[in-house]
Amino acid sequence: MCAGIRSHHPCRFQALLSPVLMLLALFGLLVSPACFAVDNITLLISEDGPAYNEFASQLNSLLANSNKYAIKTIYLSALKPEDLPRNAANHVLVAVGTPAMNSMAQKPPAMSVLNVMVPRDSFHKTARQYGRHQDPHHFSSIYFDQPWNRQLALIRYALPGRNRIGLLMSKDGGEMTAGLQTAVKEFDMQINVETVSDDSELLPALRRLLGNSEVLLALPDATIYNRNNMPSILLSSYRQKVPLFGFSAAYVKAGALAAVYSSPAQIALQVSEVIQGLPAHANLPLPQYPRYFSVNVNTQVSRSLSLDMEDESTLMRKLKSSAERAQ
Amino acid sequence: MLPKKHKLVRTLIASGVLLGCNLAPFASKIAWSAPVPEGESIFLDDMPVVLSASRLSQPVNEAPVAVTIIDRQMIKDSGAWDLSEIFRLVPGMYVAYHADPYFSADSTVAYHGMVTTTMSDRMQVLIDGRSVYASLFGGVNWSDLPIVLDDIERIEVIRGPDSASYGANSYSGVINIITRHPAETQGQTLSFALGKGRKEAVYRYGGKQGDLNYRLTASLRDDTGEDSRIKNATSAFTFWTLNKYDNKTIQNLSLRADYQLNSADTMEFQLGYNGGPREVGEYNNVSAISRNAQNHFEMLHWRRALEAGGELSVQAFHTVERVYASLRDSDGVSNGDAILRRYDLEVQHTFSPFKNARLVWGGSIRYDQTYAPYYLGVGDNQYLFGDFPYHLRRLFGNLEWRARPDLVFNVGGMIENNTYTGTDTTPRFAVNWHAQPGHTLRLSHSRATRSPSVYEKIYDSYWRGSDFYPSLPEMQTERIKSTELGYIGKYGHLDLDFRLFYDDYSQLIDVRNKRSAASGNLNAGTAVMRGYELQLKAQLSDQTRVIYGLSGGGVKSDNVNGVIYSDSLPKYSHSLMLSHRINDQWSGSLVAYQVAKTKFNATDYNPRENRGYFIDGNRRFDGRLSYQFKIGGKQAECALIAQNLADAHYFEYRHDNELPGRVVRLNFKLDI
Repeated sequence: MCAGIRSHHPCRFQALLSPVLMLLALFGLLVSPACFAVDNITLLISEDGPAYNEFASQLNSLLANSNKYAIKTIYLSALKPEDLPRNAANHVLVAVGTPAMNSMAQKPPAMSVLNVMVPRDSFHKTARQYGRHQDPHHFSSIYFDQPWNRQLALIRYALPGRNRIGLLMSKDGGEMTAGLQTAVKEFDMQINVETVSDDSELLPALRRLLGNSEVLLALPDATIYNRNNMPSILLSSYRQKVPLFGFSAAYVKAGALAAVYSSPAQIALQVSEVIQGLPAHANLPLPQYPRYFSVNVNTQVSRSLSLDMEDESTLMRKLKSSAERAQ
Repeated sequence: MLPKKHKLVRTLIASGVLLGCNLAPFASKIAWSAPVPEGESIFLDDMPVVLSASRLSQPVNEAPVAVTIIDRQMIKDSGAWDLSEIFRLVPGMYVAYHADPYFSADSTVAYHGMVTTTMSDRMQVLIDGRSVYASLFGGVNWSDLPIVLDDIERIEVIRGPDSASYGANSYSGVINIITRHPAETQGQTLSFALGKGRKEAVYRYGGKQGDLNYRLTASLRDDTGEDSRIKNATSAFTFWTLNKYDNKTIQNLSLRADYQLNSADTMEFQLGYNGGPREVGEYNNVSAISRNAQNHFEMLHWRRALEAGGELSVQAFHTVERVYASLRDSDGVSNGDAILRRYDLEVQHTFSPFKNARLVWGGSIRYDQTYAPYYLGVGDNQYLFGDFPYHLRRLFGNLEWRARPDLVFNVGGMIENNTYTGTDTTPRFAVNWHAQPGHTLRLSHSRATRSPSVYEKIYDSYWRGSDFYPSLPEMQTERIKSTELGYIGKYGHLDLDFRLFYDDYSQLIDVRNKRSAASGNLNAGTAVMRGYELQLKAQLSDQTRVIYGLSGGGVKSDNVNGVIYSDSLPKYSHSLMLSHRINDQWSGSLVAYQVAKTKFNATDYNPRENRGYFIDGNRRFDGRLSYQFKIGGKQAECALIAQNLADAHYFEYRHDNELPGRVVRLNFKLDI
């Protein structure tokens, strides 16, 4: 049996303050025989934030049940070189958030890094920038974004017959839509794109887009979809009766009609499954989309726009079964 | 980036909003949740709740009352010059230009007619939740409102009483005007209009700084109104050959700033000014030597989005409607100053008390102060000096319960207490049944009251004085019991809204007539009104839209003490608007109105008629043709608007009030 460090403390100070634990850890390392399966997990967390902590505590409790893993949780700001093991065959580092991903991308590729809670776009940019895209089995990701198929399926199930999808995009947003064209063809939908290069163009571009679209689909493009632009986007689309589909629960609360998204806890569930299914030597699966997701609908908005829509649980069920069919 | 010269303006506005509302300490306490660094933050961040409960409109087929929605496109297509004209498109709405020659040269807009005095005092009017129903005579002085047509987002007209939702004096109907959010009016717009007797320039600046969106609109309008001579006079007497004096200049300035304090809280601030010289009066009778309006208001509205779509809202406003006038009348030169002040505070809470239910409830307090010595000098008095106070307190609530997906119940009401008539309770019940998808039946019963205006109350005191009838009972509120059956249907691209109504009016007030006082009851009037209303909206294609409104009915009344209510609702009236977009550049619209003859109370004493007189029916056609183009990459529009295309000369409201013939104007608008 493999033994090792077990540290479930979310607070980095407590672990350091406990000399007893340190001694135990040393003892554990000395007596453990060579391991072939992954049994060491390091969680590198970008910063002390509620979403990251939700992910960490969920993953900790999921893996703790199996009693197989030694989990170490480190915040990026407290990361020391000795925290990263040299012999890494039995070790996976889960980098939580973009700063953690960027930090790990710059370290020598000594162990497998699974990047989570990062936008797909950011992951690929970082992987390319630091030359890690050649080795996806050791630098992989579970994106934060939803697959296009799932987003378009939500639109289809929520508002059948609305096939003209409007996208508002910044100048550099082109890469975000990779793979969208294929999905659109599959759904027999049509995409209208308006590009906005500065703030003053937002409203005119929005007006043009709302004039020829039946649905607005938000992209995780912070130059456009930020809180300062939300009143303009949501109010204009509401007036034109062209509802917005968002990518987080916050969007639905703000006034988007619906969103499909994955919570940190749902990502954690997927990560725990990935880890438990890993073969020896920690060959990670290829970058993938979230497997578990939620659907939120703003019923006040749907009612106000007189949209006769299925409820959240029905939409959820349809999305799940269509995902299963696709597999 | 915004041009530099505006920086000062922005800073001033921003600091004004923050300091003036004493928001600064509040804002720092509830800060946005700390942003997560880059990348995934967009998936995790809080977003401001933009479409909160009070910003969302209720779909017409779920509302407990009949509603007509006038959107921006309708306002534009109608070719309306004055705000009051737009209401001609509402089934059942009676609009007459220039009804009052003594107090304000303005329009009467009355739902279901029954205009017994020159002011239409039986309907509530709100702008962004702020009541502009004036205290002195009741009703609204449309030209005195600090609002520019292009700043209006939409108008909801409630056809029927609705005090549960809109408060006191929501008697025969409610007009609820909603202005555009500054986030939707960014950038600069310049617009000029020039036509026969009409000139206008409008400038709007919309800006944004972080979580603050604001808009400043300034306009200047000159309007010579009607022709001075009447073309088809009913009598050769000089008095009957001249129209009333109605030239006006309107200077408007309005500011609206919306500040997002955090993801849940928004603060909206508005202020407005409306001023300028306005004529009133008529030849050989009361007329203004000089008359200047100086109206302004300030409003603060705080909204907090609560869990599960709930909302808490607090709104406070202050309005001053002021006119300085020197009038000439049979007594010589008189001071015709009038100052009306209003302070109002309202709290409203929306939440879900149990599954499938939504409760909106709240309360408000209001204080009105009315100073109008000349107009309140009723009877034989020349002047009555004093600031007349009026307090209003109310509690209101409405529970919407979706008992089944196809069945919505609304139960609501209002308890009101005011200085003049004490406490009243007015309930409302409604059930909407979605019999089939796209087919809804609505049955509702509601009650409402109208409290006397200051003018009526002063008259009441006058008659009850020792010189007249000391035993005369104190004046009560007017009452209405309204029952209706409505049908809302959807047939492809056609929306249909039909209703039958039965309105039972009682305790109707009459004060001007000595007979009423002598009979021992100033609330003696009763009337029963029955009729129907139909509204059709058909989107024939992407380019073509037709909107049609029809209403008809009759009023039965004993016309107690000679006050005319019978036939005061035209037998029928209808409007038809056809809009068509020819291509990306050209679009046009054509509007037709027809109103049957209508009976009025004695306000013009035509020598050929007795008390109570009919105004003949009339027909009117308006049209608009516009061309969109670009100047140096900027969006521009040129529009030619013709009102009264057929050049008809007909009377409205009175036989000494003839509408001008064809009036053509050219409008040029540029988004800078």
